[in-house]
Amino acid sequence: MLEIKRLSAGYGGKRIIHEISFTLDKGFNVLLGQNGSGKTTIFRALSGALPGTCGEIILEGTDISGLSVKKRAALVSYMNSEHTAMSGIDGMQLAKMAFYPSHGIFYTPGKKEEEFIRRTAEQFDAAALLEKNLNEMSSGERQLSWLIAAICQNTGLMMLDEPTSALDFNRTHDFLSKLQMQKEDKIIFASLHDPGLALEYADRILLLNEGKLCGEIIPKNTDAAEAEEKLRVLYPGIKIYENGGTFCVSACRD
Amino acid sequence: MKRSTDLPRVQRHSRLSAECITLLSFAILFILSLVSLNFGSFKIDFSSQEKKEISLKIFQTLRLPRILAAILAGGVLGVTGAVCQTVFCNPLASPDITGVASGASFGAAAAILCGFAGLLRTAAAFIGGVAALMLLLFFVRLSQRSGNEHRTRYILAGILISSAADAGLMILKTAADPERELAAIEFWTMGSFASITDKRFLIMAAVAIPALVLLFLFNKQTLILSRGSVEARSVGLSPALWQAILLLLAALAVAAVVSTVGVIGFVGLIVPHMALALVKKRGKAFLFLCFIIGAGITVLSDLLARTLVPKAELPVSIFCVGFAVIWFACIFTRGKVREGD
Repeated sequence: MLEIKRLSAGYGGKRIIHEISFTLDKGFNVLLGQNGSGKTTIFRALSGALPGTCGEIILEGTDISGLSVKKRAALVSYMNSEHTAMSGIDGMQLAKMAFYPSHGIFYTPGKKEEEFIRRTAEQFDAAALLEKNLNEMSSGERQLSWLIAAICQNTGLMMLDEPTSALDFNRTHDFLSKLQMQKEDKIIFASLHDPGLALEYADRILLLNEGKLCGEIIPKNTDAAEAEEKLRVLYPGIKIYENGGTFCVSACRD
Repeated sequence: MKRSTDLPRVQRHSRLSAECITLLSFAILFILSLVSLNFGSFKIDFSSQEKKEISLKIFQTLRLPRILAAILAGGVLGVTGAVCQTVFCNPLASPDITGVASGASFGAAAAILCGFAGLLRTAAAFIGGVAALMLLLFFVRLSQRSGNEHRTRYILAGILISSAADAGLMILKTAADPERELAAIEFWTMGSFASITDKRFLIMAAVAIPALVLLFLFNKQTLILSRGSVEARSVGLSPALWQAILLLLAALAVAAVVSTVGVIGFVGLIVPHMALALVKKRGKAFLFLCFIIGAGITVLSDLLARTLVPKAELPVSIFCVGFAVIWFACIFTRGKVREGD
């Protein structure tokens, strides 16, 4: 379990999020919020990338905010929403970097790690990307390569910032449904822009508005009317129908 | 399904060819060095007893150190260029962005004005190069207090310090006596292996080789840094610390080279592009290839510099830049310039 108490963070002197507290359980947790609402700031604060972050971050009983960069990366992984296209580096090399926290500075990942990466990539139908250079990939392929690298890091808390922003329709659903296999022993915390995907795949949805949490939805225990009411805080005019046990989302402009 | 069974073969093929390319280029470098050993103002001749003694002495104290220095200098510039380009994920980066070359030029010019020669001049150039790097790290440290670490800060700080050192160099040039001192400064900033002796080579190697070995060992950290600061941190690598370590090693090696042989233009920028065009991937083979190609260019340039015009020594940079321009023109017109890095 992840407990966050009175977390404040921002860039330079400017606070984007101010004293927010919440807890996350194992499973697929989704953060919904408008552009600029502070989703990325929360992820970066939790990953330790923002100097001047205040508050307690307690993962499975230990406060991780005082840990070294390396020890923290063994417990927490974070995938940025932008994916650097490094020239001359392929999917396999990228994924191998994920083993850095668990080994010494001179250790080079070998056969065992390669096998693990290959199996993970095959699970997500992306084995071909392991041999392809990142700067020669399409943006969707590149995103998938970074996702596979993040999954290979195999941490108790896995944060994915807009993991499906560049994926096509099929790959998005394929990825999110296969991600469900990972969630049994992990806290997955992801931001999405599509409330439909969130309602379909998430175990729990947190709503973020202007740096403050303004509600949560547990899709399993919620009906369409209740979900619509809560989501309207973020997306005025959103309409949610229930159709054969699944939620359908449409934007109503009138 | 068919695709995944093909994969291992494709991978083995590309790895094999990377090794082949490295071996082949090593063989070319070896032959080039042997040829280069046979050329020079003094004809090395082991046939008669009287000539044998002096030949051996010249070979040991001048000819061999000169070739070895050319190999090491080119290799250092190639490898450090690759490290800079990877760390900053920027195809325009080169060891020059550390400000070391400009700092060393300033140091050497100051030494020339003070009337220092030989090892004292080398020491002044080395101090100038290291001072430039320290200033760079200090500036970056200052700018990081405001929060976010970003690699463009290094590049901007490098430009700042290089420009300051260049301005200082101009002041020294204005103050210099145009007949002797200015000529010496100009010649120094164009690079030459003419003054290499066995002792000077050993001093250069004592600094450059350990730094180079560490850069090879830290290849994994170099690659991780190319992800970007936030992404490097997310796999457990402290970006500020490792950028400083890798840059320090690269700058020490370059300072050792530049202070001994002067500024050699363009090798650090162009060699990583050549190596990447050959092996496609930034692994260990890529770094070795950067060393070999860099060494090949400087050995060949030095050979041309001392044989093309009889009884005269041309600056090496002429040929290094010449090769770079020809190669760039070739790939540029064939439309193979890499974009989107």
